[in-house]
Amino acid sequence: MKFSNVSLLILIIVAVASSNTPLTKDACIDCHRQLDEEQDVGEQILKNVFQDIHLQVGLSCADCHGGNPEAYDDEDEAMWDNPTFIGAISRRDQPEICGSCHSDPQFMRQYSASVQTDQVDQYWTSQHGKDLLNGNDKVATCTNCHGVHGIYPVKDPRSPVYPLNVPSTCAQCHNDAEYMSEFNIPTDQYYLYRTSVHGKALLDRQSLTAPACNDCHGNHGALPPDVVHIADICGTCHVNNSQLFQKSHLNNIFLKKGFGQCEACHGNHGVKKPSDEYLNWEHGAVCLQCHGNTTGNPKELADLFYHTIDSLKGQISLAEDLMGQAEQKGMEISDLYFPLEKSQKVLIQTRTSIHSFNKDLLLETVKDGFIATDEAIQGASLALTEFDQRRKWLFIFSLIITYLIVVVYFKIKDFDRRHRNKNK
Amino acid sequence: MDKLTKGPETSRRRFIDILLGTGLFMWISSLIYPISKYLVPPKAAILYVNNVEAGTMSEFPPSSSKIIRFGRKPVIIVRQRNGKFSALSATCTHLDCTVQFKADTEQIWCACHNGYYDITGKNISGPPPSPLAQYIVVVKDDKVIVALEELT
Repeated sequence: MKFSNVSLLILIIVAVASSNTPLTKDACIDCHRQLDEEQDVGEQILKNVFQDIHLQVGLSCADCHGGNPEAYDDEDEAMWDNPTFIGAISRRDQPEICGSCHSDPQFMRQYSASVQTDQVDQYWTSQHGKDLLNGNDKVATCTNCHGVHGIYPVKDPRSPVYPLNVPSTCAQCHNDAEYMSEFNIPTDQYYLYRTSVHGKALLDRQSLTAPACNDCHGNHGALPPDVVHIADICGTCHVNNSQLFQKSHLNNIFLKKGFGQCEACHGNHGVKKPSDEYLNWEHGAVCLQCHGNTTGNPKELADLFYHTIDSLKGQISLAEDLMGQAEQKGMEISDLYFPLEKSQKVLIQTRTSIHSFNKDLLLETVKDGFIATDEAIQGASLALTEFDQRRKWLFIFSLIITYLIVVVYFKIKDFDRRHRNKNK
Repeated sequence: MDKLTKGPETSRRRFIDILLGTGLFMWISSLIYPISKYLVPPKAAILYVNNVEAGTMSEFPPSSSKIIRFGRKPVIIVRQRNGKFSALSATCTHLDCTVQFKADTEQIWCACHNGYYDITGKNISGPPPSPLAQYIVVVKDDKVIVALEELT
């Protein structure tokens, strides 16, 4: 009996401790949570309110919605008769309401000395912001991306704008063909991104350094990059490729014709891991998009690039093959991994040098790769020759030993015969 | 009678001795190859090294760098503007590209995805997930030596 009383007490303590009962006294939360449950409206809008960063730093519902959070027993005093009461915030007013704190450096400094306060200004320069000003309420506002009544800090993995969640957050609208129909833009970006090299790195390998939508389009000031700035955007990460291309003779031609620099060959949302086949004139090189079936300089240059790279790849492959054979035969060739790795790095540099469309630069770059592969190939060939020599000499040595055994046998027999003759 | 039996026996014995002598000669000859190979071993594989001589001081003016081979790995040696040396793994921790020294900002830079490290190898910007491994640089008798541990 005594034991069951103690158990009951423990159960009550655990239940109280794990319940979502607010520790703060806020009439808005208490009433609205109750309404959520009573009305059974499906989604309980205050479900995550206690995890909301604003509530956690001491703000209350009234700081955004107005009203009196201490008026427990009087709905009119809490809301309708209170001059500060705003109620549900219209989408058009959201940026300014959020900005009343987030655009105030002095106010925001108390939470972080380096906090950004230009989000609203940036937002009005975005396509979303421009459309909202033009009266289109369907565009994204603050809560579409950050959530509402359960807003997490950006670095919290539960936040819709945490890097891993950004693509699906944008896709909520941009992947919805019906919702986006009036904007007259494609809705396959998320599908393309999901299969792209960036999408796989971010979403499959969870590499937080891989770009999400905002890394190319911006966050609050989201806009599609201008054609003239695509190489700058890609160059944020792919510096050498971008710089080489922008210095090349093709850059001006692309800009004049309105081609999207990197995008023209690599695509945009669905950018795949580049292949050397992009240069294969006989099998649909990307150059053919503009150069058609022309021959002459473009074809010669593409052929030179393709065959030089193919040749280096062939040498690397030969080196790997010979080194594999030597290792499989138990030869010590670890030393050759240094030149092999060097040649693989030169291969990357050579591929990068293509963006200059300068054959001299490519040939100069690739030179070290061939020297390194030669070193690896010669080393592995020597190791294999050494192995063959060892086998050959082992065979000869075995023959000699066998021969000696036979001769010694006859010698012993001869001794025996002499010994018998002497005894006779 | 004795002569008759002694003749062929002697020549057989001599024949066996010749065969045995030839066999011994071949056996000794066949030992020469492995013994000589043992005494003159093939070019040694530089696998596990503790220190490498990177050059003389004149090869490292201030604000310069050089990539050397340290065992199987490339190591970048940097001489800063103030004359101090740093030696770091030259392999980017992001996707294994080779890093380079940016003399103007005195930083280590990986061109593949614009990753930056400070002069101590700490990853400070871009995708590199971890710092570059550090090595020790010792200057001894005008020689610049890179080592895994402090040379005593």
